[in-house]
Amino acid sequence: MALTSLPFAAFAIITGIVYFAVPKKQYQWVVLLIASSFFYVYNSFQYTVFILVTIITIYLAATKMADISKYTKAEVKNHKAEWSKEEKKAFKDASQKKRRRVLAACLILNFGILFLLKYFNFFSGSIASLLGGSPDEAPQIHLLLPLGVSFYTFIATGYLIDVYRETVEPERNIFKFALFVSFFPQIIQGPISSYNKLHSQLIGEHKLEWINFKQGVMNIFWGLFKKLVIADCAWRGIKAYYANGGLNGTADFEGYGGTMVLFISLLYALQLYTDFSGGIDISRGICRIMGIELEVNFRQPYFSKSISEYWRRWHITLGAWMKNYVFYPIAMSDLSKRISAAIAGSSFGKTAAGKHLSKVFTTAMASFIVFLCVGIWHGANSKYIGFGVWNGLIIMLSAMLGPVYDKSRNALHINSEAAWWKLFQMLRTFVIVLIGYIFDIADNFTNAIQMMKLIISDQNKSVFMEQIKTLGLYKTEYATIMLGAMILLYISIRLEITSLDTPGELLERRSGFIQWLALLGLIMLVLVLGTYGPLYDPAEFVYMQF
Amino acid sequence: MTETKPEIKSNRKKYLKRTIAVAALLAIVLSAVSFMQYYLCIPMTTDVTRIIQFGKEPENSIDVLVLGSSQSYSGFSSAYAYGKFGYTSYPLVIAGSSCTAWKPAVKKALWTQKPKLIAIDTFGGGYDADTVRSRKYPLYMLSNYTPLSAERMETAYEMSVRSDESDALSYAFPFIRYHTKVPSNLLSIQERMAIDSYGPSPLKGVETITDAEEFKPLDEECFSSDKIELDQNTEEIITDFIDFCSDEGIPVLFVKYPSVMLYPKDFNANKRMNSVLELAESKGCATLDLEKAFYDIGLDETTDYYNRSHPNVRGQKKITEYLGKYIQDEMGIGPSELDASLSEDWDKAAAYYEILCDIAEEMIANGEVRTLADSPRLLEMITERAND
Repeated sequence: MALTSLPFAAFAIITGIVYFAVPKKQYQWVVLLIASSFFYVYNSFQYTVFILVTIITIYLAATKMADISKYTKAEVKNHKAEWSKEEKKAFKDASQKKRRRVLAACLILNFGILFLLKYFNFFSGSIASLLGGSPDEAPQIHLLLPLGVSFYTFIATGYLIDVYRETVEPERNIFKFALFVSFFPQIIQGPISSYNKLHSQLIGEHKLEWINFKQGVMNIFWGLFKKLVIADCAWRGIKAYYANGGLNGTADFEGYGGTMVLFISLLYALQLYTDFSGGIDISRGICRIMGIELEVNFRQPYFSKSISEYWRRWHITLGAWMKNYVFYPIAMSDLSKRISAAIAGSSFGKTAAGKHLSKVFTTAMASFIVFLCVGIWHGANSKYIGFGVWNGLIIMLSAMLGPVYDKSRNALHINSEAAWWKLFQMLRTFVIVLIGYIFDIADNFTNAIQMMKLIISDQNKSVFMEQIKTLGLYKTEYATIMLGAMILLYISIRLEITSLDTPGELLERRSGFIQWLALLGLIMLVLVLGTYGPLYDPAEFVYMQF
Repeated sequence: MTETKPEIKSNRKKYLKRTIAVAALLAIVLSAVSFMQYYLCIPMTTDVTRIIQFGKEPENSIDVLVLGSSQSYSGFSSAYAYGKFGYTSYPLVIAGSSCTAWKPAVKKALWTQKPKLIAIDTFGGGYDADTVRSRKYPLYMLSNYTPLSAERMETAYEMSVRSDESDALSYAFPFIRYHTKVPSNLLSIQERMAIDSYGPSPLKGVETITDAEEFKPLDEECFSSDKIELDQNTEEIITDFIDFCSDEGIPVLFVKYPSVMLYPKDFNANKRMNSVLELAESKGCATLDLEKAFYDIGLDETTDYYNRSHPNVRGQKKITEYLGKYIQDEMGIGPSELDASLSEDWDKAAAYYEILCDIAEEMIANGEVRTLADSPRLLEMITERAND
């Protein structure tokens, strides 16, 4: 049941009607739980056991850790007078150890499941290759991925770590917790919501509010516009590129030229953004109607002026998860502190460069590891590792070479506030992002390098004009993509200027007539230009596979 | 906090306004979609014109319903048959139709007509199993020009069962399938609306191409009675069609139109059509193999065909005379009972057809290869000549 399908629309409408029709609002969450369970079982029946294991183990671990903590506090309070400071500390440390063991066991179990399902075959094959064998002979697990496995694992483990850190109270009702993990609008492709932002909303009582309804509908159609009008139309071209053999070539032609590879990369950048953010807009729209505010996952990422800014605007909730649960633990670890101190204490550490490095080295290293994880999160393939390494390296080098970069800019008398400079920064960042995407498009790491070489060395307009025909898109389809991209660009600029999140919010400032007209226009664009119906095989959401 | 009376009143007003606004938005969207579905989804073709013009024929005025694929509209002229035998007919035909379109076409026809006979071209049963299942275009065209109703939904479901069940909704609402054609069809909207601007056409669904290809004498295999067994789906579709017509009390004549077969696929289709005829006979239907009567009809393969499957106006006249007489003599269809106005219309149609044939002959002689079919432009040309 794809997010853009009629059955899903019917399912969401029925859920919405029942949700608001429930006479006792305190049971609205039960409606969501039933709907989410139905949705999961319907779409991933044979793998329901995996999400159940995650829900049950994390629920038990969180309550166990909270109980230990509660017991510890009570014991310390009870023995306040009898225990010395050292005894209290020893007792607390022992409790903390227990809690850590529970946390570690649960994380190992859940990430172990994720590893087995998603990465085992890749690592098993890679190890076999390293040992000189064939990847095909390595042991393999023949299972499809459970729906949303990466998303729900991250959502649930994030909650568990928060409980461990005692930044949130554990949920004692397993059914309410199950709803948080399996909430249907976000299970397909996120966002990776944090417990403290989503949970209270899920179990809260909501009335149908006109503003929520209006904004929600607008968001849904904006998402459909991005997905059906732009992303799926562009995907038809990209799919043809893959079908024609990509770089490997076919009987019809020797292989794609550099201009064509560049064109496909640009098309992919547009497709990936509109596909992913479009899906999130639909999810957020559905939730908004129900009075639930899902976290923003995109903020015009292609307007970023640096790669670190890009990752604060693209898949924001994954970035936030990585920052909270990977970056900080690494950057704040004792090892990191020792490395920083060692650099600062060395003779090199006395130089200006050394001083700077001692400050940024550990954060730079932590960033690199984070992006390696981001790459691996996307999938089990060397190209995703390449993608992660590329982003990590850029961010690491930016942090380490910051002063050099600032000095060079000053030497060239560049006004960092000048519009042309900002535009240049955006273009530069986009090129870096595009290089990362090439890892995504390519079959593997070697293929990605080959693509980059072609883009640099093989630009030929006449060959491109011939090869573009092989994508099988009609002129009207190119016109549709162009029109869609122009509308997207205009709205994105408006959102950037106003610091708003959705086109619906932009329209709130306009008259009612303009709002209705815009909604009508959006609906008609989706209905007329959208890629749906039996003539098309609509593309699955790209991020669904993760 | 309880609401005060003025607040309640103002809130009610607000809710009412919002409800009206949402309803108006939905109404606008639905109207726009309906308009586009009717005028812009299916590209403007001669098939579309034929279907639209059929819908304009006065109720219960068509005695013989001609169905099937392109062989029947190129091989049979309703206007010429009326001139010769006095009964009315109309080719409710879409090029390339497989047998899946037969029953939906009859159902569509029965909305406005009560034909005394259905003359069906067997070609749609001569396709292989995959083609029968995948020929969806004619089904969409039939669906697009049928008023929305419970019966249309039922027909849409039947269509989907015989081709692809997941397409059920798009048969009921072809917009789902053809919505992306809307922008490119915008250019033909004027022509499309022009067709809607006048009443029943005197051209009566005729279509031909002004060419004459020279073929060698027919191969012996053209007259073969060998058969290729029909696949189960095709057999079920044809049986279902026959049963439906029988339930409606309409006799069916299965006609194998004559063609110049050249390739193995033609001969294979011929063998499957022989099976269709056999099946029809076994179900008590009348059959007529015009292929075997090729030379009896007086057809000349060197002058009467614009391509191997389709006769030009010369062949069309000869086949119409032969088949028309068979319908009259063997199927008992006599001259239609028409009121003065209708009779005048059909007389005009017969006269216009003769002018069309003159135009076609001139073009063939000049080597000007064109499709002549019901269109405002052709009608204008014929009317001018008729007035002269």
